[in-house]
Amino acid sequence: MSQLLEATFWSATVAGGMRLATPLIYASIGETFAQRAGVLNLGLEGYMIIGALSSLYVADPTSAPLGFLVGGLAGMALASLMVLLSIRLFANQVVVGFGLTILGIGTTGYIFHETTDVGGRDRQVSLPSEIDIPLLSDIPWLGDAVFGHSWYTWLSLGLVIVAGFVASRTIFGLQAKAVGEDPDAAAAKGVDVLRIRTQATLISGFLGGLGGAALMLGSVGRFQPYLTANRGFIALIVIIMASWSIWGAAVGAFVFGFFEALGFNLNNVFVDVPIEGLNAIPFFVALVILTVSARWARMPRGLGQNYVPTV
Amino acid sequence: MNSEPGAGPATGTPLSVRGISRRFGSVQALANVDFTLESGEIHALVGENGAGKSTLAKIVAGSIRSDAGSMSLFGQPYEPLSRREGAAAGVAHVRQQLSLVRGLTVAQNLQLGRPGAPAVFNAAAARAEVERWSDEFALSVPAETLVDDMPLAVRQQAEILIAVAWGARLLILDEPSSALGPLETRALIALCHRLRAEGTPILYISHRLPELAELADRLTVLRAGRVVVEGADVRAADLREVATLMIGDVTLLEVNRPEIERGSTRLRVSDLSISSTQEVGCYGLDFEVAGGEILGVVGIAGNGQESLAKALTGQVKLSSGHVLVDEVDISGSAREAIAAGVAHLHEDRSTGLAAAFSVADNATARYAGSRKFTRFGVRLPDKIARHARELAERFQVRPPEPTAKASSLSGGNQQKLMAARELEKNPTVLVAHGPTKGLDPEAAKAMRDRCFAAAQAGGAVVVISADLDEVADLAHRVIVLYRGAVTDAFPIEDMTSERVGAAMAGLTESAGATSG
Amino acid sequence: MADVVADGDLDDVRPTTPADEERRLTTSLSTSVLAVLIALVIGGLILLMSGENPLTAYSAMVDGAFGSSFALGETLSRAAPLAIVGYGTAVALRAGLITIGAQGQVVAGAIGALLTAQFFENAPSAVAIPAAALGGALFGMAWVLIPALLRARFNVNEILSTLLFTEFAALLIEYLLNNPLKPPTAITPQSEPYPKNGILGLVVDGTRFHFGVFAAFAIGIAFVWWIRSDRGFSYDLYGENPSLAQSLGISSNRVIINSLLISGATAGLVGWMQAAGLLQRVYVQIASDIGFFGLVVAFLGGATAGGVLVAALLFGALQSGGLAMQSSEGIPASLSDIIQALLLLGFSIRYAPQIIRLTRGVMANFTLIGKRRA
Repeated sequence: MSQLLEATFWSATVAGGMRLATPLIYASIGETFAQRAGVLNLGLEGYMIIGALSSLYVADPTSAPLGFLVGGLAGMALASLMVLLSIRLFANQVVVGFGLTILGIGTTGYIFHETTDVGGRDRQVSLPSEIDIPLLSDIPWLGDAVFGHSWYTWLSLGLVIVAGFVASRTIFGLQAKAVGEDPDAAAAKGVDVLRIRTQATLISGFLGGLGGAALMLGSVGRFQPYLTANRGFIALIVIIMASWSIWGAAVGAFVFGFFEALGFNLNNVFVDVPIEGLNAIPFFVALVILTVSARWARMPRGLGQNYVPTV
Repeated sequence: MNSEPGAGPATGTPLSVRGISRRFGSVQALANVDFTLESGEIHALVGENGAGKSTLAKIVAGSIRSDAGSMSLFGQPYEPLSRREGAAAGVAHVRQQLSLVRGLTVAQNLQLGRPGAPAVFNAAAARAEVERWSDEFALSVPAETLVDDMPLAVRQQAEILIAVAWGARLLILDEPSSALGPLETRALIALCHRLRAEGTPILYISHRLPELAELADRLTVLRAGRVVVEGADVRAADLREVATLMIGDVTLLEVNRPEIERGSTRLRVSDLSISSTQEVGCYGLDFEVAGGEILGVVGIAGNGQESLAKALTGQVKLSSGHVLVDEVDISGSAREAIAAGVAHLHEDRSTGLAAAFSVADNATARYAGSRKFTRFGVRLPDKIARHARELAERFQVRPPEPTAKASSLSGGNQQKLMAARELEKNPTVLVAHGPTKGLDPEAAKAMRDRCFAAAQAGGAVVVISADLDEVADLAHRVIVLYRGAVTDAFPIEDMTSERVGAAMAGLTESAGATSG
Repeated sequence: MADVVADGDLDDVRPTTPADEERRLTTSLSTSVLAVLIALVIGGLILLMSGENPLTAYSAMVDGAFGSSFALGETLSRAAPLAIVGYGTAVALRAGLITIGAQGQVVAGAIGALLTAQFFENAPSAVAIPAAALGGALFGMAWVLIPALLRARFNVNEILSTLLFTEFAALLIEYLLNNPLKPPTAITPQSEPYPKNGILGLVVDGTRFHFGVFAAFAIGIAFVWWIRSDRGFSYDLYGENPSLAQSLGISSNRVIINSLLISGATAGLVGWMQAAGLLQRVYVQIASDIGFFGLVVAFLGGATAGGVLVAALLFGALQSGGLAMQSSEGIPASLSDIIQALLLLGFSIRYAPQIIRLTRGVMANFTLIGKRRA
């Protein structure tokens, strides 16, 4: 119990939260783009898991950055099916999303089993070292928690800044919001609704793939089926909580990561409480957040609705 | 390609249309239309629904293409392949469904889709530009308010402002006054005159004649896709004659308001208040409607009409007050409202019908959950189809085919189908929300007759409408809603556009005053 | 919604005649066959790329799904839970709700059935069996109750809330089977054997075709009754046009809560079936992927009685065939996941009309949070 009063417990939890949040930050930021543009990617889970597997299979023989990039491209490739079926052929977004999640899980499972020999060597990567920021990392307790992270985490924070700028300060960001809120009006103003939605969906696929790759290369190191464990769906909850703001999504991802880390760390404090109960904490928090989000979250009006050009 | 907007002075006739035709399936929407818009004029294009006005506007704007004919713009041949090309040539089309994006601000809308806008959005510059144009035309368009949060009249001004800022040399205003109150319409007319003074010719599309005398210079009448009057001087024209020309069939214009015997009070609304996060609520409404009486509820769209319609049909929880039908309290229960014989003609047919369901299922949907037409809880399709066919024939739904999908019917027949569902039995209270909105004259007449028939059978009728003509045709008595409160009430004989206009704009002294 | 935008001053008049309906039906049938073929061809390409012979693989699958009475038994005992969950999910789907929580509800149902059966351990089978079935169904309902209330009260998206409850169920069963329900002698997490008096016997010896499979037919018949009933019509009407339904006195809360409870009950029943029939014990993986694929089956079958049955049989065959292929040819059973996903994607294209009719209503109701704004 007394551990809860120690700063190291909390700094370790915050640090763990940042680590666990990193894949979610990539995925939720990409998906925020897509949803602001009106496209609901329930296939995000699929983008993530296919990104995770591809990144490993490339990083193992070559290098981690290359694997990371290929992970993003693999997610984007799966998202291009979303573009084809839902945006161009007007298939229901929910149905296609589920299909892509199953396809991602099935394909990765197939490749993994097909390429893994019993008794052979598993593909794996060594986990990245932490990059310390001089001076800041030396701050007692806080330094470790906030400033000692791998480059995947630092890159994700850079991404938040870039994405925040693109979403609110560029014409592309405005166009994306316009086609998500009011596609008919946007089209009337000469915005190519399908093109913007396509681009936003591919961004979601790419960043979803990067999220999976960050999970694989940054904190797991080797593949197992169902590796992403519904993180793609958690990202959707994060986005709702953030009411479709980029900054908010990053914060939401951290909140979920923090409670996930808290669940793990509390296990050492409350040894009598079943570990399953502690592991339920982040999901319970997600449920509460999801429920109270109704108070502030404003869903893009056109979310999930296909747009069929009239001319 | 056409010249850039604002490139050089506008020379030549602003718009000349020669021999334009357009066909949709089996319907000839436009047949060999000739039309000229001169410099510095406001030219009214009038005609009934379906006359082809909007089709012509869309062809000029570039959103659709003609089958035959040619156009020229300021002396240059003009053949836009898209709305974007039309806009680039300087033609701005302000439509009935406004093309402002609702989730964005006016400043953001200004830059969205703007030809040549930089990739990075400069919020300060966009805001300054909106404010500059707003000042120039003596408007008060807020630059950084979400379009969602602006009243319709301001949205319209914002859209015109954006068109001008984009360099429009010619404006098409498509039914701009259809949802405005008299005062707002006057402001719109003033804006049009200011635009004309600045040298922007305007093509003004409307089917409301009275305002044209004040607004326009010349008018052209379309009927069934053909020009029947071209470029007549508005001041010299006899508007009554124009109206006849628009319709072709005069008998439909006349409304024979039948003598109806007044009964005792059937609908009693006391201290009715609703607070809603979704739409404007209602505040402290008190009124009664007797059997055989038709009450008109007017107001600019979005002033609590939705909430009132829901309250009268039991669809919303009240924050205070009661709705009594024959002294039975039905507040907050649609089930009890139906049991008490309340009928509801929805404003929007897409919410008032189950489009993917058959005519039979729609016609009998009021029986859902009542166990009529069922055995052991299972519905009896044959019995339902037979009943539906009788109803469809009685209400002249065409085709009266029980298996046809509701979505396959025309708008007028969908409205009749909704009436068949709601008015199968004489209602105690009929809530008719925009009952003739968007209907052709024949269907509109049929709906008016339904309302009269409901009153004649002893029902209390409430007609909610933003269309003053519709209310004038139907109602015996009028109340005016402004922000959910009643600002004026008077018998129909006392209805003048000054009085109604002031009340709709919330300028009346007697304003119920609890509005929030 | 904005699916088709009518933006002209002319009304679009489309007559619907029986001939049209017939043509639509044939089109839907031929597109269905086409979608299946395309999925199989793409699956074959994947096999070729990974150096396998597609013919060997597919014939192993067919053999594993239909080749023997054992294979048939496997197919049926996999198809039945899919069909039952599919029917329950279809009730919700028709009312405009998408629930993927069946996964957790199956787990809850299995726990409920086991606990009830243990309580009735000494009762005659005629009491113990129905009691356990009821216990399973009730636990399944309980597991969806909170998501249903949240959707009704706060418009909390049911996909996400039921997914969280699936996580809770997974954690709960892991806890139970590692602690209170675990036999002292067991090494891996599992329950005591299911009480003898509650076990559903085999229809054909030497297979896993147990009597619980017939529950699928009972549920199918109940589903047919439901969609023809007055109440079912009301719920369908709500799914097609919620605001109209509410104006006709159909309570939104009642539709949302009841249809989700029905889906929960059927999933719970499946939990009972798996525990009392197929596995005769409760394991952590008792739900395998039934919940998730049950939704897919409901989608594919267009939420109709026949469609769900056909889709469930197809998926049951693919799954049992895939596993057989894995053990006989060493080709990963994930291939059947891929084919199932491709089937769903193939069907999702708008030319499969039943799905369109269905999903338009679903999308009219769809919300991630809060009420849809007009």
